[in-house]
Amino acid sequence: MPEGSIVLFVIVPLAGSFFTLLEKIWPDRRITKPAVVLVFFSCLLFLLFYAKPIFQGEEYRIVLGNWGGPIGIIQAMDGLAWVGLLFVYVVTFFALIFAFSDKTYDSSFYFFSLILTSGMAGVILAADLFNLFVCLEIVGISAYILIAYAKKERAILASFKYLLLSSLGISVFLLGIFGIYRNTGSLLFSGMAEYFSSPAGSARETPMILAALIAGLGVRTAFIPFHTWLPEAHSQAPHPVSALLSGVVIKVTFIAVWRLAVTSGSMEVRVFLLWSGTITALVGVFWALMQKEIKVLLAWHSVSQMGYIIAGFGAGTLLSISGSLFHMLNHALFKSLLFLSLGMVIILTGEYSLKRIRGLGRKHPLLALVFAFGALSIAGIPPLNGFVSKKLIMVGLKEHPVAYWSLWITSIGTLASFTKLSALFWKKQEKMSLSHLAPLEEADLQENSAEEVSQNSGMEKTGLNRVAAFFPLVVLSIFCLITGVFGRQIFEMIHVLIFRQSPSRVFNPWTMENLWETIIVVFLGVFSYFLVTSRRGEVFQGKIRSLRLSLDWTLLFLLAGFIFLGLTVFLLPRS
Amino acid sequence: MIRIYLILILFLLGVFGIVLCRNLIKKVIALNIINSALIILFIYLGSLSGKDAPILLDQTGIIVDPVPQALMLTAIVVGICVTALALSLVYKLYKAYGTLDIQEIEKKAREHA
Repeated sequence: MPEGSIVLFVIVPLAGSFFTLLEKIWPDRRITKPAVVLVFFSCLLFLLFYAKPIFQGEEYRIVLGNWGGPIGIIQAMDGLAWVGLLFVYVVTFFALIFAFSDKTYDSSFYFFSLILTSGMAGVILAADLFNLFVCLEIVGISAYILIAYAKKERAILASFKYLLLSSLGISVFLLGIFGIYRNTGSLLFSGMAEYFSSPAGSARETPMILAALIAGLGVRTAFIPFHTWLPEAHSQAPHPVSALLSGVVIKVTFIAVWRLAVTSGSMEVRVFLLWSGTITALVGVFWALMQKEIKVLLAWHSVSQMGYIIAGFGAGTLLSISGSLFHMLNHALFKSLLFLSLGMVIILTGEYSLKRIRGLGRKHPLLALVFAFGALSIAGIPPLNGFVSKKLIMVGLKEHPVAYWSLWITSIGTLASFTKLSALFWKKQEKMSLSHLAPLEEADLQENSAEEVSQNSGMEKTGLNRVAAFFPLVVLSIFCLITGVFGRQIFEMIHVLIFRQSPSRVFNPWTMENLWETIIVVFLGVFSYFLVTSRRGEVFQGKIRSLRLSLDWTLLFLLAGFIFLGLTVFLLPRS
Repeated sequence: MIRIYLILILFLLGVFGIVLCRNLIKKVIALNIINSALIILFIYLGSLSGKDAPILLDQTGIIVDPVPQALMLTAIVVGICVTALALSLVYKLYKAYGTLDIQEIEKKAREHA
């Protein structure tokens, strides 16, 4: 492949976005949707052309604008970038096909989605810090607009909150860039690597610079304590955008953190990521279990699953790092599947609350089936994909017992909360099963059943295209199954892509021991589901839910997070 | 050194504003102040590297490193985009809730939910 053509991964979606806008000028020409399909087909085809050389360990670098040297705009593609681009294009494509089914999304929606895609490709390919900053802002601005596209008041509020927090984060990132430039005279990752390995790199301010860069990216990646914007932004966005944000956008920034951590070669960063990831996983799943709005619950799970990915990377063993990238891919597939299928539930019923939707399974068996694929994947049930990548991370984490057992508890919580969520498909709308609910909610339910007839015709009312809506769901479920069944082979491929060598020992997830462990997790998960949905559990849930942070407190929390991180780095003993 | 402290004070003013002001437009302005403080910091520290403006017509004297200035030009453009978007979101919030006070908006949003 010619060296320079990797820039097309960014250019093609950008050019496509221009064509989607032409429909604004000539409203009778239907060019938006063909343009979107063409963009993604060409990008994916192009990615396939690169597959062979990338698997053979080649790397591509291109200098844009003929400004070489330490300050040029450089893009580079390696194995990590290849996998990243793969899941970005696949998931974005299917989320946009889902959007095709709904006529309320006009060409400006696709315009911003394609700009977002282009920005994400830019972040993945960026090999210098300033290019990374600009691409992050492209991703950010298009994401704020897409969240506000839902045109609900709460969505606009969530978008504003996200804007304030991530702008603060990006200012801190900018401060870090300045620190790097001042000390190294270079903005390239390669220049940074030289600096960190040289004796000058052990200067007193180096850890501070690294902390600033990682905290800035951390706001976008949403690890604790920088996660406060995520549940609202991801749950209030339109359904395809939720799938995009949770599926790919947060992972794209994590790829940037990944590159930074690898470049700095610093052990402290890894340790920080390990513990922050563990706490993120635990706290995320706990809050998820307490939620009653279905999309908020899913959004908290994104926090929690990012915790797995971050902790797996932080543990630093070959197995857990490849597991981390594998889980990124898997999470992109099953989380977008879950958001789209629950978006479908919301479109069909017009309800957002878990307790008001019941017994959908009989009316919409296909929807229940695809949801089951997603839920079983995220809960880590074999033979679906979540099982393999979570096992990889867990095996790689064995040296850190606290992190290991925390992630174990997280998987129990995940199972419990997805049992809770799946109630909307299997639980019948009967008085008997409602005896443990509070009287007020019971009244709500009765009211709901009276309106049921009118609500269930929501499909006809919105003029939803069934084929376009279900096609991405079915394909994503099949992907979940394939990446699960061939998990071992895909793990080996990912290992080759990251480390340029085959794994030294064979990893086999399909053992009796793992199966028993899964059965124990399922048992404990169902048990904790009953614990949480008991009368006392419901009261507890309500109390936890009422602890909502206001915008001012969120900002304070974020600043406290920055100060805390800065102080820890400052007081850390120097090795 | 006093210049660095002045920039720090500007930065902290922005931080206080973004947390303590209840008015959304003031929050956006505070975000701008933070951004400006950073830009001034870059330009100031970058300007210490030389004396002359970076115009390479005759190579006399030590020129200022032009890279921080070029970078900040981009950062200013990005900042303008974010501000414009933030203000348009504030306008939409005002139209939806009839107030610019964040605490009242959040109260109304909670009641509505």
